[in-house]
Amino acid sequence: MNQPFTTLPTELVQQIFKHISLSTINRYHRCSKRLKAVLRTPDFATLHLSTHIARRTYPRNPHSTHPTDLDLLWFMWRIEYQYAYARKYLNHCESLAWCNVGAVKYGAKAIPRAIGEIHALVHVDLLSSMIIGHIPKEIGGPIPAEIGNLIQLKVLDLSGNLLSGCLVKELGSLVRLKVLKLDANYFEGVIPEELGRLSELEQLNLSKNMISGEIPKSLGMLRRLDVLNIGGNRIEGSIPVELGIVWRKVPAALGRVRLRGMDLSRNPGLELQTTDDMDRNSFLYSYLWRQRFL
Amino acid sequence: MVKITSSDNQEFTISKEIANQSVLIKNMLEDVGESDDQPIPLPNVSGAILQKVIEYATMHKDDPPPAPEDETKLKTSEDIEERDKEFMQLDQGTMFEIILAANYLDMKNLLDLGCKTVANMIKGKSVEEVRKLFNIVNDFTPEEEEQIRKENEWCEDR
Repeated sequence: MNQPFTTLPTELVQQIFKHISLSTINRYHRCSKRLKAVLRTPDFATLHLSTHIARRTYPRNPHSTHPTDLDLLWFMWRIEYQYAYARKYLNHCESLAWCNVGAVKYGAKAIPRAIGEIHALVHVDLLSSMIIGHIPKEIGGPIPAEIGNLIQLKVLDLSGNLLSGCLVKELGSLVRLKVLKLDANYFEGVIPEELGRLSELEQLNLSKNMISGEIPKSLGMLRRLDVLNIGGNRIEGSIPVELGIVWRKVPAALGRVRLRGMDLSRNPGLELQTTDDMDRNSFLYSYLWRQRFL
Repeated sequence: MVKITSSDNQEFTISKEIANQSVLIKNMLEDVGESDDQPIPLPNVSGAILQKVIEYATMHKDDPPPAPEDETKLKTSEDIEERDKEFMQLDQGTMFEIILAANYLDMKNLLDLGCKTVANMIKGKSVEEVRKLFNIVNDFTPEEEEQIRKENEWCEDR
């Protein structure tokens, strides 16, 4: 009696389908419920990728910054492929400096959650990498909470990517972070208090979003902060006194003000007034003064 | 020489170098030792299929031992030897039975050949064509199918 295809064990169905190309495999999910289930397992994703990616090319040079075509495909793959790829092929990467690479032409709409698997990451620069030419119809997703696993991270630049949603509190787990740039996106909600834990932070740019609420007092704990830019949002309330501490605690002997630049402009709800606690001769005061009258 | 019997009690006598291409038989022979003259029962494989499998093993008995895996080169389903292509000119049912037998007998090369051959039949075909080819019943509702199509939009139009 002849053996029909439908009675083949899962393992053999996977052995057959692993030869189908990475770019066309998904269409066969539609064949039947069984095929959909078999082709969407994490095991199959791993098997399939290893059939199509030459082993010697991975793990790649951890310092190489130029993304390969496969790296860019990573943005649009199904989640089980994103995880398999991150674990097997990107896991030693220290840098994803993929700015302006136009991942959107590959269908990128969000930052893969699997980014949290690349524990070696020190530098993530996806500046405008998901937009190319015209602005896509849909806006991108939120920053995945898994980003909080990347505790080696020093630079996170996701500017200009049409990302949306709230700023996840997990950003506060990135305790080695020196540069956090999330400007020119569609972020909303409040500035998470947890950002005050980023004791190494030197640059914080949240400008040109739709962030609301008050400036959290915890930002006053960012002793190394050099540049603060939260202009062009919907920030309200008054400027917390604690923010003054950021520069005031720097010993006068250094002869300069620590905070080099601060932009709180274009937040209609924000009261640009200092309190008595603030030193009226301070840089902060004069800066605010300028903001008001320039 | 080694004796093996199929599920339908056909007996085959094969040389040891042919028998050893099956990791299953090789291990069994090592377990029972040389002296045993009893045929090895293979209850999962019919005589007709075993005949084909032996034909394949005979064809490949003089192959050099597999080179250490070439890590830069991918084994794509395109690079099938001509004689293997001819060997796989079979009806679909037989093909699947050979794949199952190769899996059971633990014959990696034959299993690979079978899977690649089937994959090549799938390549370039639409979902509807693949369903028809393998008698796969579409058990999705039209809404479910549309949902999957949407999820996979990126690939559907390539």
